[in-house]
Amino acid sequence: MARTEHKKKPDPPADVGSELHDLTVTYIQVAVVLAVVTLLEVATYYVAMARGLTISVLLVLSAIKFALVVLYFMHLKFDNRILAFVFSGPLLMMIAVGIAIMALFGTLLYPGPVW
Amino acid sequence: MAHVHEAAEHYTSTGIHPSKLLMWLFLGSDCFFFGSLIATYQAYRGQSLTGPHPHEIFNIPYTSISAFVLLMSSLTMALAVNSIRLGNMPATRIWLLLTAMLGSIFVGGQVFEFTTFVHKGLTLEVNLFGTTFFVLTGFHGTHVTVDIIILLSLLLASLLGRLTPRQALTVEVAGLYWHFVDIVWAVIFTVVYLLPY
Repeated sequence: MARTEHKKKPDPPADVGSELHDLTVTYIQVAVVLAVVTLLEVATYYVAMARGLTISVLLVLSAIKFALVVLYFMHLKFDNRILAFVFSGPLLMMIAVGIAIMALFGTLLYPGPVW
Repeated sequence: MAHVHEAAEHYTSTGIHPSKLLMWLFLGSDCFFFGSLIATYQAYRGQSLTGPHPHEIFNIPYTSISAFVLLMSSLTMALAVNSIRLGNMPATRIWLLLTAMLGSIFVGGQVFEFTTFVHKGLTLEVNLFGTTFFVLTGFHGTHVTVDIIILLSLLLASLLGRLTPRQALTVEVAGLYWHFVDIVWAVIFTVVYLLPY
């Protein structure tokens, strides 16, 4: 009996049924948004704003690009949740380590260049 | 439908194909790799006592175009994966070739940028900026170069009839790596080039 259960195949992966969907339009829409966000990033660089505001805007725009590529081009939005944990776990851990390193070196609240 | 059958042959307890899971685990580890390099760049940001300094040598319009080219290569890569899933091999070959070409333009642009910087006096050992900048962007360029070789190998395999819609997952896994180097550049572009010094 146990042998029979062992041979039984688990449920198919969630993405098998969706493999034949043509995602061309979705990908082009995402690419257009990515291009616009990149344009906004470069524009932000040239627009005179408060330093803190410039940094905040640029980090948010960069995060939007990151999320769009991961969710749509890398298919994480539609894929198995385990993959999201496998990727976001190290990513969040690294962000925490990065903040710790900058705090340790005194550059987290960047005081400006020494030159 | 052949590629659906292939997926059915590899059911696992997680429901994820091993090669796909392995690639995501690798990308998770690569987050640490690039995260460490970016954090190091940030830790030494603006700490160079001698020049050249970033604002003296960066060419933002040039790098913006370069970043845009790499970003669009993610679109062509996604379309390559989409095409092979639909069983359209001619389109797959075109998109793979275009992706490799856009990647090559990016790497070529990076080589030109590095050469210009060296001529302006920025080398690996001249100051903290040079060291952290070249190590970070150099490793990223190496990743892109490796992936270009992978994509060209896939293209060659498809021309030899060894890559068919049955191996759609192989292209998808290669695509994951490509998209990852793209998003890493999105972060590097912001942190290194655009954030005010």
